[in-house]
Amino acid sequence: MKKTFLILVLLFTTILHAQSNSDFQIKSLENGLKYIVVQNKKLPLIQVRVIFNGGASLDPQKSQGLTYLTGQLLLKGTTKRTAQQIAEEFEFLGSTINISTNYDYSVISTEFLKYNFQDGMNILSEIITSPAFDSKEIDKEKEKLISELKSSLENPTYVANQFFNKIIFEGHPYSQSIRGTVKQIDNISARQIRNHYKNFFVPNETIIILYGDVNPKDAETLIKNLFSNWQKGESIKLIDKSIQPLSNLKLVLVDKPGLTQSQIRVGNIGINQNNPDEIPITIVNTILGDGFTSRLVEEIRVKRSLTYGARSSFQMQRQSGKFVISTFTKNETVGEVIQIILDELKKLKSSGVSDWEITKAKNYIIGELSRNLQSPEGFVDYLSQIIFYQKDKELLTKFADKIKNTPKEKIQKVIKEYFPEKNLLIVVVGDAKEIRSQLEKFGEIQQVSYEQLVE
Amino acid sequence: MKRLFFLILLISNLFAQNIDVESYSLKNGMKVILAPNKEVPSICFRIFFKVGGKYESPGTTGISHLFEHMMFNGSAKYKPGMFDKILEENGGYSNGSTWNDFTNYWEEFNSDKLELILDMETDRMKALKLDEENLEQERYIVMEERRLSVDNNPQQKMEEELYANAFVSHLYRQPVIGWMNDLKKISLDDCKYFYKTYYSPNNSVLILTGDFDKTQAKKLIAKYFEKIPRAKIPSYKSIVEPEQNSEKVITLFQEVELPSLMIGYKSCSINDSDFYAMDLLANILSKGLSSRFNKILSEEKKLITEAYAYQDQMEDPGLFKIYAQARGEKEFKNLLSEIEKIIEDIKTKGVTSNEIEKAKNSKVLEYFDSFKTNQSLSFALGYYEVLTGNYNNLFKIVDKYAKVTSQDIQRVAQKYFNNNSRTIVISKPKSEKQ
Repeated sequence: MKKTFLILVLLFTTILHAQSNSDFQIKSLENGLKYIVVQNKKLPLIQVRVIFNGGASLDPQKSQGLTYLTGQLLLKGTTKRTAQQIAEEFEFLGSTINISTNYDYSVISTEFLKYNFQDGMNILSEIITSPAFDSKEIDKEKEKLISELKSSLENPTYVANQFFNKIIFEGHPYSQSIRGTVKQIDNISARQIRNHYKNFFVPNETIIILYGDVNPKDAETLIKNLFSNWQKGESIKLIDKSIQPLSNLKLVLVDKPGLTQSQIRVGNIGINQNNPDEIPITIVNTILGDGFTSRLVEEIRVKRSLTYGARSSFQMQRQSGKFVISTFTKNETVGEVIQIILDELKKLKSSGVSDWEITKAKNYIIGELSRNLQSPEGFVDYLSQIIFYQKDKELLTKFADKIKNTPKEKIQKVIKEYFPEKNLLIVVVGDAKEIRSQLEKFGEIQQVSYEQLVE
Repeated sequence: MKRLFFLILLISNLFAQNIDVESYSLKNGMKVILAPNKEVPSICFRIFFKVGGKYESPGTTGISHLFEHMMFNGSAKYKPGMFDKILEENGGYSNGSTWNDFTNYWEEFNSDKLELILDMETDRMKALKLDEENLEQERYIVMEERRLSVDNNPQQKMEEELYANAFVSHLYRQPVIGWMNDLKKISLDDCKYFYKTYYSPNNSVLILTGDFDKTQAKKLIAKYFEKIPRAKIPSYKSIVEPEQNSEKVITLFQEVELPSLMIGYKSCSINDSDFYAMDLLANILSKGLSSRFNKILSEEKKLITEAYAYQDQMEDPGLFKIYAQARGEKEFKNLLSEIEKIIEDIKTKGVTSNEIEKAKNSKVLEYFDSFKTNQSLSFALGYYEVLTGNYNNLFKIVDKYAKVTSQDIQRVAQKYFNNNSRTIVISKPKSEKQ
């Protein structure tokens, strides 16, 4: 086993060398815009990420969806070009542009053929620094978003994830809906959007990451030319509210009539992005619910054929995160699956993990990360996380060592500290009349309709 | 702008020339494709079997996919559960997927583990543990997979209905995941026959990409795979779908919030010279904010939440699909006629040179996706080998797209967008059922 480790460590370091021949130095312009350029000539492509700090946590409680909507509207015309012109000219390069928003940041993602890099960056800088926020475009986008919210209710996986999030972070901006609700979106004004952009989409809260076949010096000159005139703004102050784990069991049944399979989520508050125990926690989580040989897969899928997939994860954010077990099963076996999950959490707490499981998990995590970093998208997204959350840079250069050297005592310790056994949040999305009776034994049921999610 | 595309074309071709690929056949008929590349110290092993949904006889739909699951459940030397455990404890990854035209399995692992993987792969190819226990375990897992991906997924349900109704004779009408009633009934004997018939070396293609030495790899592949005997495979009788002479419309009442429709026009195979024009047309209709669907159906007419157009990439003629979800009942009323207007416009006027160049540039970016990882390259090589008969066709696709003209697109639109050869599936909220 030890021999395997050596090879894996070697593997990981070599990947990093293959991926880049530049150091990971973050530079900035006078207006505070940070940027980082990493060169890799394997393919004639360049990945671009533009990260705006803040994210949906900035949304006032009564205007949920504001950051998301503002982000989408960046693509809908600038002071020089209409929405249609922007779309035509950008997409002519073969590229597509995507803006996504999570609770901590919004991010523009795109990819250019190297020959189109300069043209693409020209348009991109215009999108970022001089959006028009035309009233007609705003109304159109709002109308579309409202229909999309309704459409998303058709997806039971989405409904389950959203309800879990809403309940576990209750009272914190993390519980809000990133894309808003039907009523709130309708009430957001053009002025609110323009102000939101002015206050929060500022260079001193933005990071640009370029990765691929690009000369760092040329890229630097280009960034200076395109973004130096972008006006600096105020620093963002985020609400820093503490989040406590649940202290009682909470059982929520989301009624969605007609489903023949129920979605199950079990968990509690997890950890934030800068938790020093991230690695031992990831090791234990892998043993519990990641990969094809985890305990949850073994118990629910392999031994009993009750599901197609089961996994656990720590979804980390800046201030806090969630620990959630996700699976699904036919209506008849919902109670049985929940019981298995509860038993597994209890077993983890009482009996810990074996040496063989630890070794397997360590190897699996190192291998999985190495594979993800092969693709330009995988690499740039991992790098983005490390830079944005100011995580330990060694997670990039010495990840394998860090995992390999995690001592068993530390692993056993995090089980006690971070893995819940009781006082859990259980969310089930299913046809209440078919499954309710199976849930009664777990505690008091709070039943809601799936439609409440977007109302 | 045109000049720029030809520069891109030239560079894409130069890029392809630098990729080291070699292929040969073993004595037992197994095709081998090797693409070494030292950049990342891992290897991806992939094996394609020429079997999938279209090879299944009625009553056993879903057997290819169910069998794919069973392949991970133990063989003579590696007992149940060991396959994934050995891989994961060595830092590796494995998976499989089943399509209409083929089934494929892959593993990615550290460079020094090639021999172990070849041993495991040949063991399950020669001596899979085929018993009731294995079958029953996976049968119920696949039924859950079906509930997840089709029965409780309105859009997938529409797609299943579309193929089931569009095709009368060709077995593309059968869902790859299988009908629920068939999944319940597939027997151990069915599986044994299936294994014996299709999982033989002369029905497979092996691909290695990544960090290996070619000479050494060839020796190992011969050592492990050459001893598996060739088998007699029933020749695949390509079914020619009878001409469809009138439109078919199916309405599903489902648990949905918004009405939507899916149209399937009878179209061409990936091996047809029309394919590249049809594929570019799909791109022009629905890719990006500047696509016709987004510009007209979303921005201008405000009818849809989303829409896509897709040309099937299948060995036999498939469908050209259009899906659109309306923002409400009112918007739904005009949806089909607005889509038809867009199609009519292309049939009479063709597409603009800007649209076609844009679509070609987009295809170049997609082309490079195949070269991003060991896994993506091994899939692309195998895919072109199995579907088009030669992996080398992968390197020719940018050229083929480059040759398409606006006249070609107009011609294929006129040829295939025929109301009599289309099938429409409409999905409406259950509450609207009278």
